[in-house]
Amino acid sequence: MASALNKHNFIGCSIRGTLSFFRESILSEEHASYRAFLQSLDPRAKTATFLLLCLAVLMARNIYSLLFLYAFCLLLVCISKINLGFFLIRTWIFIPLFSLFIAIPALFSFISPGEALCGFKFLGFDLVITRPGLSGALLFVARVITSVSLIILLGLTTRHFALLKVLRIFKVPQVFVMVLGMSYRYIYLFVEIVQDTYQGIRSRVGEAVHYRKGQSIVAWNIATLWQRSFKLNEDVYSAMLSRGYTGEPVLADEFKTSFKDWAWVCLVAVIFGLALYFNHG
Amino acid sequence: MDDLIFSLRAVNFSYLKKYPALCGIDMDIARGQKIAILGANGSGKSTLLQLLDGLIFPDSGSVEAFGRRLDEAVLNEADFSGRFRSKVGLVFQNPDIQLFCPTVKEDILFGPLQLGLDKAKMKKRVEEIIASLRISELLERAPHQLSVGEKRKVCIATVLAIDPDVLLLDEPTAGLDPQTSRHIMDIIIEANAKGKTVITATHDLHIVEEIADQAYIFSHEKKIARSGPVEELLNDKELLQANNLMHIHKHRHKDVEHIHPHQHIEHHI
Repeated sequence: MASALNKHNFIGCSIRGTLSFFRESILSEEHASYRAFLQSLDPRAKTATFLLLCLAVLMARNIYSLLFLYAFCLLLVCISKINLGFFLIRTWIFIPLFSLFIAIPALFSFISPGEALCGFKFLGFDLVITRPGLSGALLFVARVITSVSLIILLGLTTRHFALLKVLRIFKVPQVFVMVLGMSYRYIYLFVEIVQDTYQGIRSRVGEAVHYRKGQSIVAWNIATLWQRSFKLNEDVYSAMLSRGYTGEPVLADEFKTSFKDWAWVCLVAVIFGLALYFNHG
Repeated sequence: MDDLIFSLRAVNFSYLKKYPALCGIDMDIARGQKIAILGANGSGKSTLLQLLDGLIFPDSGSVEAFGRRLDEAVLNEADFSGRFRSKVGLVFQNPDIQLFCPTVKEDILFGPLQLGLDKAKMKKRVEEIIASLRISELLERAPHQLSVGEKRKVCIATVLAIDPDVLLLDEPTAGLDPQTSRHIMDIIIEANAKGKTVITATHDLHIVEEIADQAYIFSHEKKIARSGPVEELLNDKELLQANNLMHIHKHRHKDVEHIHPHQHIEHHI
């Protein structure tokens, strides 16, 4: 099993990757518990305004508006006591870099014809970077990085269950919100079970196991986990019944808005209005 | 008996109709009693508590609660079901079953919200429970971030928030450190002092004398081996040994080996 879970093995890498994702996810809840600006806002106001900011990003046509919105996002990161280096690493990896690769072809004259800025030869082909191509690619990457940053900032500064509860302002049925909340809660339990099983197997089986045997152990564990989840499902339903659940869940509405929330909503509305004016006015 | 809360007559229950869990159980439980259900692992204690909580129903025999026979049809009546659920609260053995909400606060509020408790009353009650259990710093945390002892306290809080007349506790002190165990026992004793009927399933004999006046000892045959005052039952070494509630303890005093039955009523210091 251990060989099946070593660093060169697909299954091992997958288990480790999944566990590390969840551990990171638990860690990210720490940022949401800081006493700082964004953390202190009502999750409903915060979610609605961040969506408005994302809309402003999508509608922005010039790079300066996008740079302003990105700078505003970074300012929010700082006043929310989130380490800027940590945030930049988290936001620049994967999606924006990926979008950068997508944007590269748009730089050249065969995709975006127009005024030539510079040219070079690559594998015998003449490649010319054009002004519309460069500005289009920059706009695309800036849009992606700003949107991704805003969404990650929202996730970092808001407790996950609060984000789920916010779904209710979009009229998502209570039962759906409750099921999502429970799934969120039990994912951690199953992660712990997987982790413990993994350690248990490692301690007993050691390193010298053929990868085929490793695969069968993993498959067996998946089946066991499914059985456990099925049993847990029945037991949790009993626990819910025991406390008065009748099939129509009633959830607590704990959100409270303050003057600060309304001031924040007004500020974002002004920014959205200005973004509209400068880009479409 | 006017104050009779539960009355069980010739109750049999089996899982999947082939694995017996309770055989021929007769039991009467009156208001305000402190009762311990004692038995080794797998003797049917948890199954009995689930029967008393109306979560499962007997294959044969009858379970009556508050003067009405408990069956699926009765518990489907909204009126009776609401009253029954607000009168009987079960603390499950496994806290991960009981704590199913994303945060401790939501878990504590779940019961009162489902039972339609008045908001002001609910707030006051929950504040009192949080203060009494000293769990205010846990409220915004997720259940997976709690220790076993903290989970156990929160489980009790989720049931006390309903303010039930009957408290059913399944192994409430299992796996806890002595201090947390003591705290849980104090909570149980306090609940009984306030007039609640407390029924505790356990095999921790050292807590029984404090949390119960009457006890039922369950045998491996899933039957009641004996019932009676706690003191009387705990003094019957043969009975305890026959039902796996006592073990042979081997230790040395000054190079002399002693072997004697040991029942964990008092802790060694």
